[in-house]
Amino acid sequence: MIKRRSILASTAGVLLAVPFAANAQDWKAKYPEIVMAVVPAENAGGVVDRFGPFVKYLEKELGTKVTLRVANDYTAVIEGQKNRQIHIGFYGPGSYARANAVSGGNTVAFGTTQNQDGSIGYYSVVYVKADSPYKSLDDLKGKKLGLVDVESTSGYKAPVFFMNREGKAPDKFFSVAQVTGSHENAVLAMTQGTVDAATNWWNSDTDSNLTRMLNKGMLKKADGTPMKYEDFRIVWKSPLLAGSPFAYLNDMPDDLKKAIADAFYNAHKKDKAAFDKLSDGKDRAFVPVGHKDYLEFIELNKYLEELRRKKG
Amino acid sequence: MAKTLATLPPAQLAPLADAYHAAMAVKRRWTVGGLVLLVVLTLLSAWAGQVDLVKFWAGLPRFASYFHDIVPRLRFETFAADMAEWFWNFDGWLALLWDTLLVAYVGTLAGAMAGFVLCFLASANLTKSTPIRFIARRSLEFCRTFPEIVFALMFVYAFGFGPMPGVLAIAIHTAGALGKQFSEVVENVDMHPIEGLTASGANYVESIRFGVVPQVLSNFVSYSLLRFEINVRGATVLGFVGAGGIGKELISSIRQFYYADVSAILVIIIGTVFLIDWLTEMLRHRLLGIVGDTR
Amino acid sequence: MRRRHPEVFRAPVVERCLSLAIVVGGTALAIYTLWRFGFSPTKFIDGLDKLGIVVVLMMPPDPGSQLWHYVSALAETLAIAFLGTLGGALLALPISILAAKNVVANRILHFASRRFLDTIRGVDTLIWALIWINVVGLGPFAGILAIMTSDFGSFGKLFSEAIEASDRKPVDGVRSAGGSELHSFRFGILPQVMPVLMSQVLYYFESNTRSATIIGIVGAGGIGLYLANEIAQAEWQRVAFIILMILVTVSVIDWVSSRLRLAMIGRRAGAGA
Repeated sequence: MIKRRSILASTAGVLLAVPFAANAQDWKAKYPEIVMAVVPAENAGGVVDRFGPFVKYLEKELGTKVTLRVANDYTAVIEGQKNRQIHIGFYGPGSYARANAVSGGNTVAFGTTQNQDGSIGYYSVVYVKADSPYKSLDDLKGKKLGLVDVESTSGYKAPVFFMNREGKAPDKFFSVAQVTGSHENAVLAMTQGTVDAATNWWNSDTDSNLTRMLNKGMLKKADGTPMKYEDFRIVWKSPLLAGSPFAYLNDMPDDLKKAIADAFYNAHKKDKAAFDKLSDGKDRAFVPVGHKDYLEFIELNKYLEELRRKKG
Repeated sequence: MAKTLATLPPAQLAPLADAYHAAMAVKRRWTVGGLVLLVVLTLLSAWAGQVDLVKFWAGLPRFASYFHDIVPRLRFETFAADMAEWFWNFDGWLALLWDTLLVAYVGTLAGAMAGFVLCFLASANLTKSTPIRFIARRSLEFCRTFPEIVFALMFVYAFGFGPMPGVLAIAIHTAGALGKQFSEVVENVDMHPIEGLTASGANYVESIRFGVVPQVLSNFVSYSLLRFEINVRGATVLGFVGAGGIGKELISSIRQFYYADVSAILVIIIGTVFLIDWLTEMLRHRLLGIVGDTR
Repeated sequence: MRRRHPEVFRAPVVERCLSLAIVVGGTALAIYTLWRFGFSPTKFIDGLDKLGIVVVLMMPPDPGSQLWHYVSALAETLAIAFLGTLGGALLALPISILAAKNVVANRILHFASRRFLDTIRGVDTLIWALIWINVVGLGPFAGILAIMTSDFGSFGKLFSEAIEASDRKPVDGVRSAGGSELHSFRFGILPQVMPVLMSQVLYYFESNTRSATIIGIVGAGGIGLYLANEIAQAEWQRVAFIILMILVTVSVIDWVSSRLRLAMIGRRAGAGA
């Protein structure tokens, strides 16, 4: 949290300061500072820790100041990039589709992460506590589900979409389907008993938001002992979802866009430590993607909007 | 300008004028001192609050464009159809609004009852025991100053998501606020009926029931109605932390950029607040018989 | 005595039926609501139990490593409350004049400005915070603007009512001494209402400190965000510490504000709600 405050303060300072003299690349005069923002997969302190080294790497590669801005909800990043206050945004596929639509196409995906096994993409899962009686999604009928954020793909859009297709529309199937604000909050709500099940993102048994929380020691039982992976059970999993993209502003100069993209694609070679910190070492590299890879999520958003209208 | 007022002879005028100037000088010093303090605090706050007038100015067009975005296109020729489209979920939202109103209603009712019981214990003229009065007053103050939404968050933790945490949070805050307002009314009451009752053998409860309550009841109801109006607005916001109702729907629409829905729900909320404002004001005028006392 | 003054001992039938109907109706509505909300005594007791555990876990309040963050966030909250209240009051003054029947005679202008103020008041501060975040981005500046906006509506209404309630005589006095419209306002009305206005502003400053703590939850700066996060992570000792900080701050402001208001109006009127 310290970093956030000083980051915001230095942002104000830099924005009011005079940009330094022109370098070889003339985009630097127009963009004295590049702002990067991340959707809250985890809570603020964790984001700063995770992305800190990578931001320093970007500063070195781009030769200009790079600032990490922490958002408390997905909408803040989408809105920020729409207003061109944020230059690089990290989204889930569904929130990226929204960001692209809302910004009139100016927010464009350029890179995503490749898992260690070469695959790209992740899953949405529903967790319950292992000591609960629920073995499948049907067991959760009439119980309470903790969602993440209305713009989260694995935490809201995918579950709503796929569960509707299975005939179990979350707002009717569960007694409560409540957004909790972040993936971490959803898991916490479940361990605290506020909800019976939680949606979350999941790559593999060794790489998920749950494993990251367990590694940080965030999950404890009522008596204070730390929880283990075996204390949780997955009762539902979605089909494979496209990889979460990083997106930049399309109307930035081409050489700036290329510099950013190249910095990302080469990160695993040029600064492995910083790159590994992003995923606790579970990712292989950043690979190129484009808007065309997310067209199905544009459709998904439209479908969800129509679904909403049908209810009313 | 013709002389319309007679003036005093200079000998009498001089000391009066001097006294006036001296008084004005003192007042001016206080005013200037106060203004300087105000300016210093303002600058400090602007620094701490990261006020950036450049950013504000640059962002103003966005404020305007936001309102432009959320207001839907209403054309004169297709007015009915456009309105139907804008309020496509009118019955759904009305149902959610009803939930919100119920939360505010039960919360206000419970809070008013609790405040009613506690206010007599907090009144200096009815409770002679200073420790009891102190405890009653501090409890009411605690309930009042503790941010409502923090109560709601803690109750969500304890009772799970749903409207009950909202009801309880509102009830507690209302008990504190109304309890204090009630006790102030009670302290201004005419003591004679109470003395008369005590003299003819009534006990504590009876003297309150027959001596105080008739005097203060209409005031109490008036304050409660006002609190209900405030609580309706509070209940819409509590939906944000999981207490359901129309607040949840509004936040959800804002976050998913369903612009037309945002304005539709805002219109419904504002319209409801207007209506309740008007109804409670009418009721309160009948109760108090005076014009104007609104806070 | 009962025979001579029956109406004192027995209220007229119509009135009693009406009161009974209200009480029965009101109770029925309350019971229906509790049923609809799934209220059950067992669930309630369970929840209270959980709450009791939380209260125990809160002792002793302890900020851990976060003390400096909390203090600076609280300072931010106070700044938000201060500037928001001040800005709202200053902006409200001109429009409250328009909305006061006795200053501006035009009925339409009076009605329009009143409705405008009501509309602004109808939107909760938290919603304004979300809107302003869109304009100036996340951070305390959005919080200041949010409080300024909702206060603008409240002060506008309060100020205009105070102006309407003011005594005509000083105004007449200034007029008869040859003063203009502006003079009659500046010297006739303003001195009368100024103490009441300042009193209201001070009262709102205390109330706004509480609002300012809340809007942090949506990212409009201040200590609200820390509070929401610590509650989500069930760090009860930290939660208790933050709450304690807030309560102490509000008490101090309350005390200072009461003293100032006393100095301005005097004992009776100063003991406001």
